[in-house]
Amino acid sequence: MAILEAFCDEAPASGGEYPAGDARHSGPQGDPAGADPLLTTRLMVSDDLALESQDDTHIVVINTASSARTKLSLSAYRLLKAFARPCRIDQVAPAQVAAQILPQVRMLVDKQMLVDADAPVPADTVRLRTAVAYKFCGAPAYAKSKIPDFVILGVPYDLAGETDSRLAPALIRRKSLDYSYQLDFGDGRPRGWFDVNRGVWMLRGATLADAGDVPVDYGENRACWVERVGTALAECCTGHSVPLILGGDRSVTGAALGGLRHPGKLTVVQITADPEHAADGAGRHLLRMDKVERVVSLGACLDRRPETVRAWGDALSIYLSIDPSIAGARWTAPPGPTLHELKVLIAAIGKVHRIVGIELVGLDMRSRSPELAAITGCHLALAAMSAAHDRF
Amino acid sequence: MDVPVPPASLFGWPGCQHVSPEIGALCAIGAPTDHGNVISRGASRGPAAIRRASLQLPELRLDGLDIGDVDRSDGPDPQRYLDRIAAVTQRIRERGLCPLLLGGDHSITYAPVSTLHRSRELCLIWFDAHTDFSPWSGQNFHNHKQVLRRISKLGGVSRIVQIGYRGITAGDERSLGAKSVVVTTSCARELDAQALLALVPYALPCYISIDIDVIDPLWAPGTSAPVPDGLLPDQLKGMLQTLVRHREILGVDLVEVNPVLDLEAATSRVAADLLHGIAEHWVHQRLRRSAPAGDAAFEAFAVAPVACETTRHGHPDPIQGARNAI
Repeated sequence: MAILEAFCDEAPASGGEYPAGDARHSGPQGDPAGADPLLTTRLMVSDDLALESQDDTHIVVINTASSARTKLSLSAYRLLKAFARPCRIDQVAPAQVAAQILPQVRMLVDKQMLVDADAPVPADTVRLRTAVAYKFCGAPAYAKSKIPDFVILGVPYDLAGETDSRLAPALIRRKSLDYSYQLDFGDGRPRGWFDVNRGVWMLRGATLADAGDVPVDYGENRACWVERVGTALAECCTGHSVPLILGGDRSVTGAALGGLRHPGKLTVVQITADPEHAADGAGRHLLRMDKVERVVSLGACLDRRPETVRAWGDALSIYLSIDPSIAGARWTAPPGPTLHELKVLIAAIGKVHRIVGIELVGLDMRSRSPELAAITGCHLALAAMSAAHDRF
Repeated sequence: MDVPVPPASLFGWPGCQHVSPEIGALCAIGAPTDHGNVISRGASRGPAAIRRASLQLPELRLDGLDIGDVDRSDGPDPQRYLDRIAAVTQRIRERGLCPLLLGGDHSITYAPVSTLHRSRELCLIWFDAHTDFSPWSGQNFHNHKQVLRRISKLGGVSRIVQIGYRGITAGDERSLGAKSVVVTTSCARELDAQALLALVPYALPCYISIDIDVIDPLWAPGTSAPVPDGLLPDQLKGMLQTLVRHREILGVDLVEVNPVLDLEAATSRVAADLLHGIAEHWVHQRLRRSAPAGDAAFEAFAVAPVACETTRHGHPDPIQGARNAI
């Protein structure tokens, strides 16, 4: 009886029996032929769980993989802790009590707090995506049930170049909180933002969802990481959704293109402070991909006039790769384009062509002012999303 | 005046205990506080950093005074501190000097304006990347996001010219009420001297408030809420000099310099240089005091306030309105 009291909010009134019809009493217990398979399954606490808070009566558990939070009574928490090591229910509680705590155990299994300890472990134990502390612009977390207009995916990888960029997605997201994603009080649709210098509303009605980061398992084979980025992007960017990738170094481009679900050929437009690098290195690599038809590098020393975008062709599918540190980089020679020039250029691209993917890459955390580059990146990302959605 | 003498004074100016200041001289006073900054600490170190940077600039032809910082040793109460700044401002004016406040966060601007508006109607010129017009329902608290909304309620503030609004914002803030005009950064770049003066009625004395974030953060990164694509330092310097030469100035402040966030003191240098530009042309303010009423030299740029044209977005186009007036 003590064990049952420990696990249940309310101990049975007498004799250890729940009244007939009590939901907790239902189930196949006592019938060996129809025995609940849960009774014979070895269960254990999910590795993804973390305790977020507790008080005298409840605790809050967070699933770090899904960001789901669950409030549990202390008795349910005690039950959960009983499965710290793999075991069956009857190893946690005597047989007569095991059947009675079965509903609570099932609830914990349904909420993925308890998992099958003997289930085969996937060969690649690194998850496709992980939750992040801040969502881009405070947008909601990505959910498979909804197809947003834009899906944000962080790729904190920086092992292919010299830039220190693994914390760039987190910095960009943190700075993006100054541009909060809000819904209109009247119609519940996204309000968008007001672009002061252009004097226009942007992204009105456009839905955003943040799918978190693709984790990097440092030391793993690079091909595994590339495949994971592609799989994660293909999984969460379906239908009409346009991805916004937060890199990461410039090598992220190739990995992201691998997962982009777009039937036609792509033109990759790189706006980078170092176009020679893009053209000679990453650009040539990208051209080896079947889906990439052309790579255009725009930078400090190249023609960045809006009319040039028409010369590329008509109605191309553009994957836009932006190095946010290019904007106004006055210490380069010649100086980089201003933010305004870049916004005009991006708007022109959106007007003439179709933007099917956007990324911010190459933000170096050791640069002169990474925070400023992150703020600029937020502006450029929103401008590119506006060019893709509003087609000004 | 009961303020401690700072280790370095602005432009090497003397304190008031050493000289008898000339009537109309600039009188610097530090307000090292960041109680009204909701984003980050550090603006309280602004006055010292600006003073240090000012010592690297060429010597000025005209002296001013630096009477130190407003004392904050008795605690962090914002209201008490603002009251003290207001009292110091009042005493500076009573001595016939012009207050030049070194912030501090932008909430301090409420203090001098709340004093100055009592004696004369004034035009407030607000250089800032933000409108600082966040909701305020009358409570007794001060922060830098709603300070202009609060100041706009002061009866003697007859006109507000906001210059530098830009970026991506939650709403369209280009209209701040009947007595205000907002000049976005992209419009401000086109603003020549005559167009600027047309926005500022000749008959009204001006109070100039400069939030350093009006400058592009590539030149002035050391501030708590930088917004890309701002004015160049020389563009702002030109506007300030135009105002000093052609309008009566009741007071000036420069706020939100945050040395903690600065890169190689670049922001402090820009701030000091802007003040240097003001001080360099301050002789025009002194001449104004000695010029007889109706002096043509001073009324040459007097342009009556005009009704602003309306853009296709339904908002006033201050530049076009000004040009039409000219």
